[in-house]
Amino acid sequence: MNSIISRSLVLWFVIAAGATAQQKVPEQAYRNFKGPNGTVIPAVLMDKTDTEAVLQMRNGKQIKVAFDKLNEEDQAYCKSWSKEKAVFLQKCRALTIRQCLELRGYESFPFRFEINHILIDGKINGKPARVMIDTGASTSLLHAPFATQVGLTVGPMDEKIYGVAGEAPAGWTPVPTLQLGEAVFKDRRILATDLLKDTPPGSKTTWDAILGAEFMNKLDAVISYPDRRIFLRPDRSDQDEAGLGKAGGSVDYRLFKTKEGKTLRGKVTSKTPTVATFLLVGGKTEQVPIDRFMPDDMAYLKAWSEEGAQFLANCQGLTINELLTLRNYQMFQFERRGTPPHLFVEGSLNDNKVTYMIDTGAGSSLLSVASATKYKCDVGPMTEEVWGIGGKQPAAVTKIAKVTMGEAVLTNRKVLSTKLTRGDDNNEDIGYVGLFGADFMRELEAVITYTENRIFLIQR
Amino acid sequence: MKRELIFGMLAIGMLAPVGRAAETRTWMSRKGGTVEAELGGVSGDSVTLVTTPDSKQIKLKIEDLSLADRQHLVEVAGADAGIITGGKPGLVEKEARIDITKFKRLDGGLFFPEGPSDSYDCLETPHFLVASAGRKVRPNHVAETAERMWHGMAFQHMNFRQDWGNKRMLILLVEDRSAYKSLGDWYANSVAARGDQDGAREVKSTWQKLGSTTITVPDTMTTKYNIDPRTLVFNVTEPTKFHKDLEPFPTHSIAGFLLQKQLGGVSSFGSKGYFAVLTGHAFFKEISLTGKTETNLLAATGSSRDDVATKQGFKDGTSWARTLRSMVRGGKVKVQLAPMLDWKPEDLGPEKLVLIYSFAYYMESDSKRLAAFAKMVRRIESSNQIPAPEEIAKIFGFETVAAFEADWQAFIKEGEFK
Repeated sequence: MNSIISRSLVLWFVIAAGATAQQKVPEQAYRNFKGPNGTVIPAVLMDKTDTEAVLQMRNGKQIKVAFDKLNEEDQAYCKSWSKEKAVFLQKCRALTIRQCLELRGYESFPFRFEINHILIDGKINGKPARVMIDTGASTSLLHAPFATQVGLTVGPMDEKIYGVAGEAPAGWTPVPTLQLGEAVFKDRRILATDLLKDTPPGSKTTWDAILGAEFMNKLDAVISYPDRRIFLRPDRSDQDEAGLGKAGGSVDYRLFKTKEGKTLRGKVTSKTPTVATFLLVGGKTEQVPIDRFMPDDMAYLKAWSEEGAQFLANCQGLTINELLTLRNYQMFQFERRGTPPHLFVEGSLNDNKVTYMIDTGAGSSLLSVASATKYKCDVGPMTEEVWGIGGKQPAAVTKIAKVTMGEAVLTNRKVLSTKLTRGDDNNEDIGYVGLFGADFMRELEAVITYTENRIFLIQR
Repeated sequence: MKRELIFGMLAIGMLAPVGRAAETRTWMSRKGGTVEAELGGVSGDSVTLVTTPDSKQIKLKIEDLSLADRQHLVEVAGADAGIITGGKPGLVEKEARIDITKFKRLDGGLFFPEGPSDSYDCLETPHFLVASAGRKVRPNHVAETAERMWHGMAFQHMNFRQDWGNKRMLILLVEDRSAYKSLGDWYANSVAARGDQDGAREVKSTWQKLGSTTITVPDTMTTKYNIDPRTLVFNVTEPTKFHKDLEPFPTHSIAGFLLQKQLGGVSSFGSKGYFAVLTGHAFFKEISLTGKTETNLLAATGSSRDDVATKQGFKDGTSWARTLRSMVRGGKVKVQLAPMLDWKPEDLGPEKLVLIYSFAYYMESDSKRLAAFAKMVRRIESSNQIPAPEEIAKIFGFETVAAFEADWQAFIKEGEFK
């Protein structure tokens, strides 16, 4: 029987494997542990039980040390230490946010910016549609002429929708299918309106539909500005019904078939660009060139990475919050208010504690003119205009000395301010000072996660 | 019970975690060479890439990678931020290897489905359609210049390649007088039809005097040719000025056009400084890549926008730095940021124009400043406004505008400003 690996490849791989085994632990992971008698042990905490820590010395040796043999500070460190986080920092740091989320079972697809609006390609009633993602929209909307064009029947225009400049008529429209990536919503009713009504002459729509908060909630969406991707949570109940098993269940051992008809039952333990090493059921190892496998297995092997495998084996329990804060993002818990809920987050405006609405549909951040005045922004004359549902509304160029959200500080900014009361001029107490829009979120590389009710920001 | 929200079975099968490898990316070297590869790892001052689809491992010095790639390593792969400012920027546009065998003639040429009836010969490159009308004009060299300038932008700006997408940009080289006139008439009418009467008058009063301008082509055309609506038009009155790669005037126009695309436009209240940033960059690229300038600016003023004046620097650009340095040393020119950002074309004299050029030169003069310039461009792209002077100073690492101005002035008086 022919061997499926040449001697030279084996030799080459052995060298590569040796290099992997000697991979250094990052210097910052080392800590000087101190025993009760003051003995210093420079080591990395590798694992722990309820009573003892497993420390790896600089020479690679591992020792077990009972917690009560360490000083108080080290004991506290060991007790708060998380193996998942440590493995992530040591082995998986190079994984992108996208990779981490996809490894956790999210489906992702790219979006593009139209000015600052998030646009994704979807299908409505089976026809291509440009869909704008708007966390600030109370309801999803279809552009009525588009709805008609794709064969939908727009109902009587006897509903009202409200925007920054007032109201507009809308009609309920049955939508048999709305598809985003592999996610399909069936038999929904969505309001349709003429998005070009009351807009300046020559205006064009750059989207056919607006997907609002209710869809983002249902999809457990994660919106990542730095990745320019939206991540949607797969429906696990479908997966269980299909008998495909729980996520990760097939990660360890699986069947691999070569083009010659040989079958391997095992798991990948490492690979070079051309050769994969398997730990077979029974304990033996075998190295096989990747291009010897059938196409599906070859694709699997090419996509396999040690970081990813480490992540799946050790870090799946990490929340998005933990993953992003490990990458130096700042986390903010947002509050959901209203039905369907909008997202609100605490921050400051010229050193006053305030609340902002997180609004991906606002291409530029926008302040309530009353709040801008109250918090001593430099509000100019109302000579500008903002456009939206209901037409236009006067606005003022407003200079802000300082906006903060946690440690992120934005200084010397110009935004527009307008009445945000949606027609109710007598009520400026709307509970927030304005819209934290896409301009700020792009700059601060925001990641919004509906599952965890959090927004993450990083200032570079 | 099945929930309302349904996901395809196939997708779930595909979603089974496999420990995905890194994402494939187009990596670019300092010399403009590109490779499709996944990031294998970063170690010290080198980076390992695994090429796709042939899975070859290559090891490169980080400082030989483009600024955009180094920024990517920092932001996405957690590499040390110090790698961004290493190495010298060089003249990527000159060094880039452009494969002109990928340029091909478009069968049937190019025509406007609605608008002027003239047809254009058309050359397709990886990122442009270069269409020409006239007997002596040659699109090849402009096409190569455009690709070189494109690589320069991709080298500097992390999002440029992604923002560009899969659409080409149209460049029209119009030598034929009748075609140029009918294009101008059609464009003035289409601007008027949008309700912009001042703009239409300006098109009419300047069209024949322009060397180049940008226009917006109709949707029917963008769909038919898969192009961006913004189009660069050259009024080719001297075809020989287009007969070599990196000729001064085409270089200037394309440099400004590409930066304009990357900036993405500015809001009605955020445009202060837009002219200085764009114009300075275009002159900087023209002079640094070709050694001189052959570009004058036109300023249209007056209520009917028909008062057109020509603005230029000192002679042909070869003496700009020397003359400005002398004027700054003598106190005749003040190196001040805020007033400069407020200048409009009609305000310009030679010394103001050259100060704008020195501003761009300063911002793109070394790797550290170039990285700050790229950051500023990203800020403009997301905020649709030119940052306030205090913010520009901060982006370049200074606490105050005065400190920024002092460094800029020192660059003019004693630095590498040439």
